[in-house]
Amino acid sequence: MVFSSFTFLLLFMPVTLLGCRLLPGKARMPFLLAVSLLFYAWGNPLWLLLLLWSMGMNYGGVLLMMRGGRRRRWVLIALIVLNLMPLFWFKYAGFFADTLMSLTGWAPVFERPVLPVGISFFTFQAMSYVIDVWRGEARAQRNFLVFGVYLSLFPQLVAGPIVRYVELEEQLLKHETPSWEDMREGLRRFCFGLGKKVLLADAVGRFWGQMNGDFTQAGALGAWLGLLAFSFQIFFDFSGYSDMALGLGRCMGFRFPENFDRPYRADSVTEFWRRWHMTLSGWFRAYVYIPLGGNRVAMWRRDLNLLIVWALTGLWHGAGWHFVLWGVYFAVLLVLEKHLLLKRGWYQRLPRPVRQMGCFFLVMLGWGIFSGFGTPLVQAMAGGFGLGSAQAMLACAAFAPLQLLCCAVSFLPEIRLGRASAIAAPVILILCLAALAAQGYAPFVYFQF
Amino acid sequence: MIGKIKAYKDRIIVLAALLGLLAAGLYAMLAGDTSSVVWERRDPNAAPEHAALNDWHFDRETESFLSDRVPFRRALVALDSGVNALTGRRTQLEAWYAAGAVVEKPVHRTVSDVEQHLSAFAKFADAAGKPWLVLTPPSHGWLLRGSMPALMARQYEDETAAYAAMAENDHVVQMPAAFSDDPRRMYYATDHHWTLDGAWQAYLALGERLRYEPLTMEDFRITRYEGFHGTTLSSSGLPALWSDTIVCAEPDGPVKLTILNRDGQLETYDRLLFPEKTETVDGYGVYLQDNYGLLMIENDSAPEGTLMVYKDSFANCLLPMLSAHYSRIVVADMRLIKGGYTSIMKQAGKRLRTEDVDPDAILFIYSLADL
Repeated sequence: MVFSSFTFLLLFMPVTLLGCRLLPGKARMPFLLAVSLLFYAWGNPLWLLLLLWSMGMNYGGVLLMMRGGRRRRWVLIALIVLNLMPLFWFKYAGFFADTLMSLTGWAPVFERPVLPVGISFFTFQAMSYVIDVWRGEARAQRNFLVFGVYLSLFPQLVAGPIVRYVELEEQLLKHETPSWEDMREGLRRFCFGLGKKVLLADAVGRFWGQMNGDFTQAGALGAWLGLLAFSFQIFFDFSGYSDMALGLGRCMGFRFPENFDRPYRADSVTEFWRRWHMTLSGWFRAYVYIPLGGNRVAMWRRDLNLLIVWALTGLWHGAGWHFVLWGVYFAVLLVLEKHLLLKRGWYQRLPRPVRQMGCFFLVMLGWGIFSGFGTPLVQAMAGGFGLGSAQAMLACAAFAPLQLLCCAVSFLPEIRLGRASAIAAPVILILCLAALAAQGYAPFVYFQF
Repeated sequence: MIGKIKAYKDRIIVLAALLGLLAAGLYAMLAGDTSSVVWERRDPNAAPEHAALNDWHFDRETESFLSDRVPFRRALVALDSGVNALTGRRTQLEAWYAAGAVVEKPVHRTVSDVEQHLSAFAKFADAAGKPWLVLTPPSHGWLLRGSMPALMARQYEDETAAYAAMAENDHVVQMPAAFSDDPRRMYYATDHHWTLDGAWQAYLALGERLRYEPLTMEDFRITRYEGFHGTTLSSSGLPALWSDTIVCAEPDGPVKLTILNRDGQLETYDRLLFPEKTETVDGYGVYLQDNYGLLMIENDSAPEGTLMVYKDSFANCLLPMLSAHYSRIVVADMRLIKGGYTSIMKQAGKRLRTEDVDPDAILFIYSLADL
């Protein structure tokens, strides 16, 4: 089930939120687990088995691990491997098979599985629980209901934010009835997130989608503006989803960590990654970068660590070499920035808007790699297919007002709406319902990660 | 009282929002009104089946089912179309707004496509040994391209080239200058079809080529039907703030219409116009009851012999006028002959069977989109 659907907005969400508010305390956890499993099963009930397997395996495995003894480490390793196995099979088996075939000419024969939604997210959450308990940063959860709710809580189940167990443990154990004020604030944030997704991301994404990878008609203008549109689409899609998740969480009495902090206003790539998908960066920092030695090693080793972390970050986003390349691209930028730019006085003296534009330009080129269109896109951007056909020009002109709106929302300082937000939220909701009625079904871009 | 309301403000807002959404959802699920879907000229999506639960479509089917029944769907779609149109993007289904009319998307046909079709017509007519003509109404969007922004106007370049290629063929009836001079009068504002004025210009132009003496407008019985909302408006999703008037012309004397209906049965009527159709969502069905694969119009008092017409829906408004001149017009709409040509000919019987018609001339009436 996706948030931007009538099924969710008109049936699932009201029933769930009213249930959360009106049910007595003891009934709330079973209710949350039930609705979360229903939410996940809606797309395909078979996927539920995978989630239940992850729940049972991690719950039981951690209790086993906590029994102590010399086997503790082996249980930890086994749990990590068992968590990664389904992820590897569903997400990466086809990718590695293709790579193997291109290298050796031999192709293993198997049916490519369909990627279950949110597998990357709940797998990482489960691993955070296992590792946090191993490290002694969290206590093993003996109540299956509480652990089940942690892993399956529907607002952040399929597209984040990735909530570490230690961040949610207290809230799960002392879960209180959400206040009406929290629910109002949560709904307001949900509406703004829905607006980002439906009115901005889906709408501007249609421009990029029209090109459909054929840049011969788009030409240089279409390719550059298309890439700009794709940059906005991916940001508003994902940050909109995070806003909706945070809003729903608040309505249900949870405070999830923030995932985005106006990343396109960053003035360096380092800062960009402190503002973009913060929970994923935090996860890799806590469970990969720091165990590798982090910053407390020789400079060459730190740079190598960055390269490893970012290659893995790229691979997390998708099974394809262009995703790995995208990660490595950012690793190289981060290393170069640390060595050549950030400590230089002349760079810091540049006006902040110039640094911001420079950073956004590099990030946008990164989205070009991320898109996987490769050579044709580069050729079009370099003018290899001319300026663009009449049809492309028309599309560029037609989408110009929307692109300008996306620019304003992304780059300008945040405007505090104050009381106006009370009117803005229902207006946005109605416009979203109108767009949904007209456009039908639009799955989230980030579900594939 | 106001103090109490203020104290309960958050509670009232949250409950109003959630109960309002839930009420809309329950209404859509249990008592959903699908009339707005009829306006979109399609059948509403059915409820999802349990069998679909494991085949990955259950959520999508539920969504389509609810979407078709959501309260105020028509208004919601109109709102979205209006917002899109105001921000420069197209409305739903690629219908464009220009010069007070909603026009269809450009037709992308190459010169080679056109030549291929004309060659097929020639081969067919030559095999039958009959004289033949092609009548292709220019599209409303193409005629109004001058009223559109330059970038949008350039979308119609393919159509311009296609019409130019057609104009070089002697068998193609040249459309009178009136079409370019006054396109708003020739076409409906809410529909892609031509008005009586447009069809009248075609009727006059055909008279020269088919060598009949055109009558005057006064020689026909004229009827008007208000409140027509055409297909381009409904496919655009824009609000029905304006409508058209259908004006029909039919010969004054007795005529007979025989239709091969969708059940393969022959139906006979003593009229060419069906005013009751103007009360339905597709008011254009007033002509000849609707579009059928095969039909015949007979007028015993007409001076000329038999005309065979292969056509799309543009012909429907013109055929009543032509029936004043031909004692028999046999009409085939190949788009609707789906069960195989041989099968439908068997059902049609000898009088309608095209190979037995032996016409004096063959006329192809197709818009570029249907060519």
